[in-house]
Parts: sequence; C-alpha cells; structure tokens
Amino acid sequence: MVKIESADIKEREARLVISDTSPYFVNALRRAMLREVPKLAIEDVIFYENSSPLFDEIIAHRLGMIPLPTDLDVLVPREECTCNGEGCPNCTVRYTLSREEPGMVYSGDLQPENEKWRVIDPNIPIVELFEGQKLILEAEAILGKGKDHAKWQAVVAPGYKYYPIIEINQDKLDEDSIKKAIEICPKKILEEKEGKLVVKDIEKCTLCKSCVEVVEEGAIQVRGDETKFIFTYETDGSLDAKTLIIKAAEILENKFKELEKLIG
Amino acid sequence: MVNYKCGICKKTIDLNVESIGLQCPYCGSKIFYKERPPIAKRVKAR
Repeated sequence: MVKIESADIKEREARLVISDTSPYFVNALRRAMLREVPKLAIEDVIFYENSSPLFDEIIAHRLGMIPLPTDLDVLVPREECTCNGEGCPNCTVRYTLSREEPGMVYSGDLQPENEKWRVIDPNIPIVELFEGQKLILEAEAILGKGKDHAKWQAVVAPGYKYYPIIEINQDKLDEDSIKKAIEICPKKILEEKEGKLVVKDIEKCTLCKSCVEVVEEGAIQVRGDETKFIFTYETDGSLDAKTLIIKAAEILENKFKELEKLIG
Repeated sequence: MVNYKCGICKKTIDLNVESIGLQCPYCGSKIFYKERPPIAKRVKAR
C-alpha cells in the first residue's frame, strides 16, 4: 500500500517521499494536479475605455494570467451553477479597474467586490499608461481547469524522481579517488569521513553518475529505487499546497469510482 | 455618427466618409484616426 515516508508541506510548496508505489501512480497524481484541479481566473473582461499602448485582447490575456485566491468550498463551476451560466456570486467573482493617471498599472489595482478575493500578488505589472491615457474595465473570474487553459493551472513545476540508492565499496577506493568523486559531484553530496567516502544528503542526488565514472569500476553504484519517489511541486498562491494534492487525489478517486460504476 | 480625430492637431471632428477630399478644417491635415466608440466591449481573457 502507498506510504508517505516524509512530507514537508509549506504554504506554497511541498516535498513528499512516497514509497511502495509505481511511477504510474505518481504520474497520475502529477497529471491530475496539472489538468483537473479547479482554480479561479479571469475569463471575461469588459472594456469601457482603453487608450493604453496595448490592445484590449493583450490586456485581457494578461489579466487572465494573474493568480487569484480560490475557495473551492464556496465556488462552483459556472456550467454547474444554479444560475444557468448567467453569473452569480456562487460562480463568478467580479473585479473593477479604473486608472486615468500616468504610471504602471499593477495587479493590486484590481478592486474585488469582496476583500476576500483580493489578488495574491499586487505587484504584477499589467500595462503602463502615459499622459492622457486611460484604462477602465470590469473583469469576471470563474473556476476552470488546467486542461482548458494554462491560466487555470494552480500547480507550478510538479515533478518526481526515483529515490537515489548509492552503494559504496570502500575497498575499491583510495584517497585520490575519494577526492575525485567529491570534486566531480555537481550537487556536492559526497564527503570524506575518517578516510571513507560517505553520502551527506542522498535526496539531493540527481543520478547523474559522474562519481561512478571517475572511480574504479564497481566502487560506487548509483541507481534509482523504482518503488520510491521524491515528489515536489509549488503553487502560484491560489490554493495552498496541501489543498492542491488532496483535491487531486479526490478527483482521481472520483474518476475511478465512475469507471467502476460504468463497468458495473 | 462616428467621430474622427485629426492626426496633427488632435481635434475631434465629425466627418462623413462619403465626402471626397477629406481635410481637417482647423489645420488642413489629411490624416485622421477613428475614435474608439463609447460602447462596452467584452473580450475573452485567453
């Protein structure tokens, strides 16, 4: 059965060591996080005035890419909402932006209806206005999935690698080869202790095998454990790291339950 | 009626596109820009 050997989960990043599993399981989890976990992002922008140097569509695209806080307990996807896609507070979050002075317009200038939905990072530049230029718009944000557009992808750089296994045969190593192995390692995870070559931090190993090439054959063996993985990912702030992985697991579970029902 | 703005003196003038020999009545320029119509425009953020 799948085991979590260690979990370092912070607000916006996480690192898990998952064992007793296969690459297919971890990859399914990674793909669910990328494509299926819903997130809030701006979908429609109503321009009342835009005399900025950028076209309406360019500004709208930039607004769509701004990370917005997402509360999956409160919001529902527009296509499932009781308002039949009209746009109500259950499915749509509205922002306004009105700027007439010269200067850079930032994401923090987007005013939400409710302070709860204020943008996560207020320092993302949108467009620079010069003398006499104005930008007045309204934006509507809805839930969506990463598979429809990258703006709805909450996870950043999800990845996994095999847990490294490094076996050292000290009899085949001398002082010179120990020094070479320590020097060649790009991640500096090898060190000398009492005349022996030891691994300082095995989880940082990238399985490059540079150390294997500079010593006698068989002195160092480096391989990956195909049943144990280091899984890392970050978020853009719209969802916290724990919610993201739990939601991905729930979505996968529901998909398999659906399959079970269909097969009967 | 759509407004046009003179490219040189920047004054807004009413022009009929059917008239031949368009010229700004203030500065004589023949370069015009169409002003953005005062309507709300809905754009997809994609």
